Amino acid sequence: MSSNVNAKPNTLKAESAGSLALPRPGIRRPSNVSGGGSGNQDLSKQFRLGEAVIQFLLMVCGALSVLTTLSLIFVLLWESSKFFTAAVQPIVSFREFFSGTVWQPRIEQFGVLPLLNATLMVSGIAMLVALPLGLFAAILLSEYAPPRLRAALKPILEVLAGVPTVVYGYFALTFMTPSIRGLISTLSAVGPFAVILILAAIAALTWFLLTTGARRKARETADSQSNGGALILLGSLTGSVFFIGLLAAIGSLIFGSTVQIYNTASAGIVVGILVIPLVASMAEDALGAVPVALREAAYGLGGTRLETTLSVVVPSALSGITAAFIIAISRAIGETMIVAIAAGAGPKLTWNPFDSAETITGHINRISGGDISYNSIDYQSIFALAALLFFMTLLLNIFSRWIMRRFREVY
Amino acid sequence: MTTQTKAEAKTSGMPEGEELRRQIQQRKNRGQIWFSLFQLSLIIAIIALIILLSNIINQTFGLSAVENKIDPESLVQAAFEKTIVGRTDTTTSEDDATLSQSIAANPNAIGFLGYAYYREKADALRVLAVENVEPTEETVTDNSYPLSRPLFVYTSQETLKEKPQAAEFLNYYLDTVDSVIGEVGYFPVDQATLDAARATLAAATAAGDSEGEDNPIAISGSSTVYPLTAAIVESFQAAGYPGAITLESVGTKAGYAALCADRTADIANASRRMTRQEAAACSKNRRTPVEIQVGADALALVVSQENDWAQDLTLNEIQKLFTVAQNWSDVREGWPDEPIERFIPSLESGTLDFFVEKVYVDSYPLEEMPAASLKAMLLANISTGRARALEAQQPFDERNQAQMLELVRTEVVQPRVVASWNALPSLFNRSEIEARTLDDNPEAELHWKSWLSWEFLTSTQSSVPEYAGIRTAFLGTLWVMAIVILFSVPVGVGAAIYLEEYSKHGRINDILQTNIDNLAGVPSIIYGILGLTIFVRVLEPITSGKAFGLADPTTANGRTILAAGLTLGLLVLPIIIINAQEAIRAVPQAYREAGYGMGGTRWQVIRSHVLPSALPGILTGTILGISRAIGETAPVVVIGASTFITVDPNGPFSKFTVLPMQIFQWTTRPQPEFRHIAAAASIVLLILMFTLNGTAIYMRNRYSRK
Repeated sequence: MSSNVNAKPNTLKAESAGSLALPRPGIRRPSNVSGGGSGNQDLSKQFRLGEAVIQFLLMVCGALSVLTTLSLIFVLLWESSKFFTAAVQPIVSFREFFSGTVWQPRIEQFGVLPLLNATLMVSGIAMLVALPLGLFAAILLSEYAPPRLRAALKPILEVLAGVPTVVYGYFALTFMTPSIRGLISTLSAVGPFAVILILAAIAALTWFLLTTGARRKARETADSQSNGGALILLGSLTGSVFFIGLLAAIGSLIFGSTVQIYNTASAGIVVGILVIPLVASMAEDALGAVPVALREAAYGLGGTRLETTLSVVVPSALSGITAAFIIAISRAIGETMIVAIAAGAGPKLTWNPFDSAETITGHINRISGGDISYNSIDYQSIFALAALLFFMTLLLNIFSRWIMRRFREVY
Repeated sequence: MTTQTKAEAKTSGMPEGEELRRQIQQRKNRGQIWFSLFQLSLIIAIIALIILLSNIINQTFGLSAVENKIDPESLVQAAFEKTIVGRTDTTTSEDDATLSQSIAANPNAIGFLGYAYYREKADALRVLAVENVEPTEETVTDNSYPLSRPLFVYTSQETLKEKPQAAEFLNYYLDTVDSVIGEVGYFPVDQATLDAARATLAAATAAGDSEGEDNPIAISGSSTVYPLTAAIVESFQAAGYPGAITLESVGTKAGYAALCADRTADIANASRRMTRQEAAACSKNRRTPVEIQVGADALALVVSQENDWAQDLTLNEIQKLFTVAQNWSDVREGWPDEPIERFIPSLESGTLDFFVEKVYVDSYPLEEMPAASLKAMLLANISTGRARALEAQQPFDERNQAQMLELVRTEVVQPRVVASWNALPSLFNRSEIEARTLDDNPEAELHWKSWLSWEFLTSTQSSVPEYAGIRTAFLGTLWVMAIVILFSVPVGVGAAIYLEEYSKHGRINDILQTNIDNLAGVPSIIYGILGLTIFVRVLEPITSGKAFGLADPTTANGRTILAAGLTLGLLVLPIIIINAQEAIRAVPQAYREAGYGMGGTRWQVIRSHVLPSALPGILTGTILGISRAIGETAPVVVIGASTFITVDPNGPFSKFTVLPMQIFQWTTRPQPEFRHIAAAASIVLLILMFTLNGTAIYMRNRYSRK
């Protein structure tokens, strides 16, 4: 390459060098340039207005994102500081804000606990749904699925991730809630004794299907196909029916059999479905980054595919998987439309997932949806809530990135 | 479990023989079960997606019960009657004798009469065949003659039980009707029908407990059947019936109402069958209707004996004959070029109604009426104030037929969906839905309705779900999209270029990178709060357009398309930057070196080497970002999109609403019909998103394969 450069006229050489003024990796500065173009000849030193302007403009573009963050923090702190100081009546103290159990702006009660509690409940339910399903789906995609199947399945997950959240909210209100209500009312109509019997029967059926299926599958050889795989799949289907039934039965035992039209259970489950693709794709990236050599070592020691996956691949990818989980929690906490549609309006401190409760995001959404005046306490309260929300998600995001860096195995 | 096996292996050494086989078997089993668990997880995710989509489709289509304020058929009927009577060469008369005389005297004349009146003047008149069927006793009773109708008397099982004298009267009716009916001018029914009616009567009367024996028999209903019933009442009383009988002529519909709804009549005369809805109204009022056909009526289309060309007419020719045709030659080629002179019964008689109903209404639905008739219908049925208001919006004469039809529908017919169902119950539970509708809304008609329709796409917001559409929201989405593209694509790509090409390894780069990654994780509603403060309040002079003197006088606050576009632009900026960075990073270093080797400056190399080959990746990221922006609702709610707006947005400073906002609005309404249109709007939004995302995924796959 350097001989090529040498063959060209001197000016061109110099200009090419000039554009390389800043050190960049991968581009070696031709060693003969400084020697060839001495003094005035070195066009690289020449100031070019156009280039400078362009570089400045591009830097402004980059700086805009910093400006966004700064103004975000400034706006949230500034407006919520008005909320916590005496600028307007009444004064809300930090302590009152974080320890109060009533949020009712009408009577000047600003305890964030009911809203926070609902947010955490929705997120908790969502994680119960999304973590196992997302991780398992990621394991399947990364460790079991042949490349072609993976290529076909990944876009489906992406489609699921691309559905607008308002459509998920509609789904929660018009499908999930009626389903839960139907399930719970059926359970309470059938009676506890019959429920136990039915659940026991389903559990027994699951056990039978799984064990016989596995036995047959293991006996399966290339020339004699048995239906072991189908039996196992059927078994895990009845298993999930059992699981759902058990959860519903326990839920109705603890919280009673009335499910309100707006409830946190339905919103939480749908938020969980919403974040499955996020968990799955981040966890799959983490699993995929584990070197093949590790797997081969495990196989070489006689491990089955499951043993290799659970005791070698998943632990190796644990930092990435944890990061995915934390990002998912942060996403669930910030989710707005599903809870605004399905979880109900009106802050309520309740542990009952069949009861309606308003989350932080749902409350901001409802209050700002109306025509509020800019100097009302309502207006400032949503900034305090937004600041809380912002720092919660920010901390989670930073934490997730820290875990990723700190515990990442470098292969 | 796996650690346990390891531990076992450590302590007790490698198992052998049968034990080893068993252990391997166990491990394999465990592997299979877990594998199915993994499979199930993905299956559940896919099932969730399928249910999500099918739920929307389920809600978008289905049966709906529609109730009209005014029946469109009666509008058509009135319009044609008016046209026919309004012709200057049409003479109307209440007196049938005058009509038959006038027709007989004029070879160019034509007219129609009750068949009875034709028979009186059969020597001077000639009856025409319709659709090649002559009106004879046979063709009329079997209903093959097009201008015929059956005549009924209705009563109810309950009446027959309570009032034996009514049953007695009806039995007498059946016995004597055939001997009287000829004189009245109608056609008798055959003996079998009468016998069947007698049997019905006998069955219904069997167990009677006579409560109201002294009350008079009340008969109401059709004016057509009236003379027949009157003749029988006369002879019944002449035969020695001592009680009183009241007889009214109020029309068939009112007769049914008297029999069922009001229960003031014991017997209803009727010139048409009871409709499904009327029967349902009867049952609801605990009256089981009993139908007895007593005869048949027919219209005779007559010309003078001197008319030697017309022998028969088709329905189509009759339609022309009484409305648009001037001369006989207009009706059929070869007939004389003589003006047609029409002699018909006047508006007051039921005969004209019958004629118009049979000849016109069945073959002219409201949809096919010309704009002029629609205008006449409209003006006849709305207040003058309303008419003036509509005329002011756009003169009636400048509106086309479709627009006039729409006006007539919304202003006069006023169909209202009174109940609606989803697709699945509509398909599998139709009979129950029909029964429910008859019970709850007997007047309503069930239609299969697609809530997603062209009208839905093109009409504006409305408080009535059937008329509401997404036009405004869709345009709003397009405008906001345009602002997002104009703002965040140049800025995002610029930032990515700066990060990748100018400050690759520096402190600034680290700060920027961390910052962008964190911004990508900020909840969207926080961006709404930022937009509300910065764009709606602080920058109000700019976002409302006041600073440029372009403010929309109706809004003039910061809650505009521009504010929303900038807010969503900030929201998707990290997505666009991160994707563009990846695309730029993927450009091989050799390309740049080639550019520098040719003596290009840094910007020249970027512009002519880096950007072109990074373009597909940048575009992919941009599309993904925009599709995210389209689907976002929360920020738009927070910065204050209009909740009810019917004016199309006309620029960046207009107030606006967007599709997901509209869906959210409709979802939170209590009426079930709004759920249907929310689903329909979701389909539109999803199609938009899937098209964008699909393009992005396709581009990415194609690009990454290179």
